Amino acid sequence: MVWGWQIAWYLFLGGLGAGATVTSLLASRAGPRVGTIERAGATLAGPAVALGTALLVFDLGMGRREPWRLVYLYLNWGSPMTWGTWILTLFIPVALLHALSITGPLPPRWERPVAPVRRAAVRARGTLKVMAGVLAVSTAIYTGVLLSAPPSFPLLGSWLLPVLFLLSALSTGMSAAVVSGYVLARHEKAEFDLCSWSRIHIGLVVMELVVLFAWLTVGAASQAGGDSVQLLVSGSLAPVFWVVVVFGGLIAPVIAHIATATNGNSQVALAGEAGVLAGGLALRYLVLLAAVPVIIGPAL
Amino acid sequence: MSTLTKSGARHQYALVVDTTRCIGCEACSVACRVENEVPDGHWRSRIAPPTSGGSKAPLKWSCMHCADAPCVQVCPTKATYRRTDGIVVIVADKCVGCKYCIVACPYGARYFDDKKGIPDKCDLCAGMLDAGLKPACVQTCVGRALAVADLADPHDKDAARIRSGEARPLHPELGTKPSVYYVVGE
Ligand code: SF4
Ligand code: SF4
Repeated sequence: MVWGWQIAWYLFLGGLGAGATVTSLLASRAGPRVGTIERAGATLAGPAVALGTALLVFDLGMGRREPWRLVYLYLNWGSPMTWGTWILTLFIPVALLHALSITGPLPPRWERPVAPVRRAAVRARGTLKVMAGVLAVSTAIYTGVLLSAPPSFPLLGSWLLPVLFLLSALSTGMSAAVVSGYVLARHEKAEFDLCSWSRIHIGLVVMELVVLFAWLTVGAASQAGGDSVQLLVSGSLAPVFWVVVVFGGLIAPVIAHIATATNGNSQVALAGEAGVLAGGLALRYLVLLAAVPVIIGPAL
Repeated sequence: MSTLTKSGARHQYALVVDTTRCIGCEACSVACRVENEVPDGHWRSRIAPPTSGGSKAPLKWSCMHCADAPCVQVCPTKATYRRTDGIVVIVADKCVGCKYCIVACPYGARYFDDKKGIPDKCDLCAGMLDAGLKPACVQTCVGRALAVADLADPHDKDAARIRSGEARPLHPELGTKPSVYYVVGE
């Protein structure tokens, strides 16, 4: 696969930003008070997606050397990458405005230039929320569609991959929002309720586990897909797959969240969130590394 | 520049590879490398080991100039496109080097040229064809195993081998409608 670590991070950060936005929107339904998770999720989203996009741009050939060429990326409506370019172009500013609309003022020196923007954002808060939600889900699905659209890698060419990436995006974004929300709450000496988040997160992670294995089962049907699956479950990628993705990223977090939901131990839940993040990043890497082409062309 | 056949119809190019005449000498690969200044470690055209593609014969392997090309579909900038004569080309000035086309090609026909910052692949020596010449590989082939067919020309003998089904594409099940056709012996 010609796409390397930059693209793995791009897919991961795009999903994380999307999931953090959705988490923030979910948190906003709890009541009129803007809680720490709501603010943390919204604030994380824009920078995370922007950083991922910067990595992608950095990985381009001529697009990096002659950046004005980037406008051509908006041209082919049949290409998932063009869809993604439009989605990200809209999502990054909307995510930043959404964050401005629900967070408090910055230190005066920084606040002065953004104040008028913030006032406009606050007025448009309702619209921004709807747009942020739609664009976040689009971003998360797009990261999977990018890989599943071409027919060249059977393991990737399944509609289950966008579903898997959507679930993983929601989950990693939730972890990032919850961890930073927790830190923020400690800083503000505010109350923090992890239990209800743990309950939602268990559902997400269990679904992800089911979809992950469904995806592998479907992928194993073809020759090249089977080779990819074999690489993941018993080949050279297996240690990372089982330890980091399956155990650290899915099973351990479920156990941690069950522990938290039952006895309220937040330390355990936070360790679980760290596992989700590591597992989500490793998943993107492994998906790229395990891509075995449909035709093993002549090797040099 | 001749883009019309004698009857006035548009050209419709295809490559016919007669594996029964190929001795696997790689003269075509070398000619391609020289003509197109292919960087070390990459290839536009090469001889695949006899096991690939289910054939016992050596296979000349290069871009298949698919009529339904995944690379064309996914290219966000439309830098990769299919000319009306069937040749799939890359417009260097429009390409951003995102490598999506390389990811999308099921035939593994593309490579990334780090120096140029864009992908590259066989273009059937389009410039030479436009000038009325044959591609470098076809010109060089010692066994006369290679020929450019023009499907728009009803009298073209090589096109007739395609129409009769004697020459067949590789992996048609992928649905990309390749324009490279192989004659495979018993
Ligand atoms: S063989 Fe690959 S590069 Fe050539 S036209 Fe088909 S998909 Fe594109
Ligand atoms: S690398 Fe260039 S030709 Fe290939 S898909 Fe990207 S923009 Fe198109």
